[in-house]
Amino acid sequence: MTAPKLSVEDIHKTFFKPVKNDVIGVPALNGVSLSVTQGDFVSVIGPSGCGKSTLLRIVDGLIQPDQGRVLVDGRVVAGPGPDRAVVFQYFGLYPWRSVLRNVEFGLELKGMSQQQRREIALATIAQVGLRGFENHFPHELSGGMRQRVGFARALSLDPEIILMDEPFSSVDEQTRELLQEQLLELWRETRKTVLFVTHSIDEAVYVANRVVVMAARPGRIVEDITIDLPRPRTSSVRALPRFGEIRSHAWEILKRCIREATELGSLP
Amino acid sequence: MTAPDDAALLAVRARVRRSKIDRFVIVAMTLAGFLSLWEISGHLTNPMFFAPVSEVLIAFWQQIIDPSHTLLSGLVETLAVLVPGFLIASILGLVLGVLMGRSNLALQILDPYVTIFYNTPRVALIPVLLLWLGVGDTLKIVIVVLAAVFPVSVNVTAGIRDISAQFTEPARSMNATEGQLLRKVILPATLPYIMAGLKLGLGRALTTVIVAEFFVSLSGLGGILHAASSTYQMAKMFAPAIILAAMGITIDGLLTYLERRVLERYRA
Repeated sequence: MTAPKLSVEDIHKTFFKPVKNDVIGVPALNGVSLSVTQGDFVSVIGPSGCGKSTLLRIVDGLIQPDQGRVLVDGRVVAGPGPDRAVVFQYFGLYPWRSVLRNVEFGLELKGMSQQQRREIALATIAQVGLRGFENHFPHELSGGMRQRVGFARALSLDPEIILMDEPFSSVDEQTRELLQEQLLELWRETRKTVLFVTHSIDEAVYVANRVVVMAARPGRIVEDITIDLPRPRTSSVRALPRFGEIRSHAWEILKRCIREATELGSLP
Repeated sequence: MTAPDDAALLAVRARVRRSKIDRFVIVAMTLAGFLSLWEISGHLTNPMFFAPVSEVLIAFWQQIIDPSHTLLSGLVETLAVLVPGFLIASILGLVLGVLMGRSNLALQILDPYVTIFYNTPRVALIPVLLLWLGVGDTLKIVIVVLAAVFPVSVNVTAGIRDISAQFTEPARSMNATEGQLLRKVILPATLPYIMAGLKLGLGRALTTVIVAEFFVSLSGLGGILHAASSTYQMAKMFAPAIILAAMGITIDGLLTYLERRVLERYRA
């Protein structure tokens, strides 16, 4: 077996929040381990508060874990690095920059020459299907187009791992399905390793090779489901009986977790 | 385009034009009324306390064509204090604001002093500063700086403290250095606050420069104003006031223009 591209080893993280004159600890992640091979597509789902977004930020290096470590190609992650790029739920675009300059942003931070970064940015903008919108500003674009800009920015950095934090949850249903298909196409072309956080079971099953199910309070992984649906996938995959089976299996697990959490009295 | 549409369009255009004319008539009539009232009451009252508008305008014209150029040199003297004072205050306010916005330690240490100075009437500081710095432009510039610096810094601090993580997180994820974060994210995101602070500071600087000219040494437009008033030359008193008003409106207009040009990028 080959060495994993990304491995997450026994991550613990507790957040502290002030309450009146005291501070209480809220455990966000409790012993999370995960290993992802090169070129794989892994979805992470779980109820809100299960720490899936925290996990993604720890992998990116935006948040430091209290315990445990993250390895990329066997090297310990100490902070954000050029081998990983994030696509944010809130798009993360700068309203005072055009589409082109937003996509160039990461390359600009690296100190790349204007000509070089322009070339790369134009190519990735074309890749996500936004040719002709280079000089538009984010407020002139629809939600789906904005997220494609976010995606182009991540791609322009040519990372090995793309981390996606509920990337399609702020766009409407139809746009979301189109973006999912486009994402799969781009993934097939680029063969990047993808870690995809979502709260939609349907989306998780549709896009990924593996779906990791997390439970809340404290956040932990409860199941790792292999998705044996054929590729390349288009929306017709959703009509397959197997899709429905996997989907309801995942839902059963999630439901059990939520019920357990409620019975413990830690949920309202 | 079809005929009914044209008719509707013409009707709307006519209505817009009519309302413009109406507005102009209202303004012209009230202005005429105001000026006549001024003229009449000027002739009816003691000339030691009031002057009719016609005399004011004549005096204004005489001061402009006056071969000794008292008014012009007064304006130059005032600008020689106002411009450096406002520029220093802007830069200092920006630096102070950024420092207090980005560093909790700086905020904790400096905030009490800023609060005290921000709320102390500048006039109250003049006697002390007079003893330290002596009579001269340095003192007047220092007073203007003290008046204008805190509105700028307080606004910048508030703006920076208000920046959403949705602006800083993507930059951090793309490995921005603190300097890059400041230049490419924080300052552009804070621009509306910076401009608001500058406008507030300008207003304060304008008032304070005149007050300083009254108190410190009779010079500039404030000095002319003071000299005219202490010799009961009512008509002459209005000229510096008119110039000051014009100056305030011009600089404010300039800042508004600048602001609009920059803020065009912020339309969400």
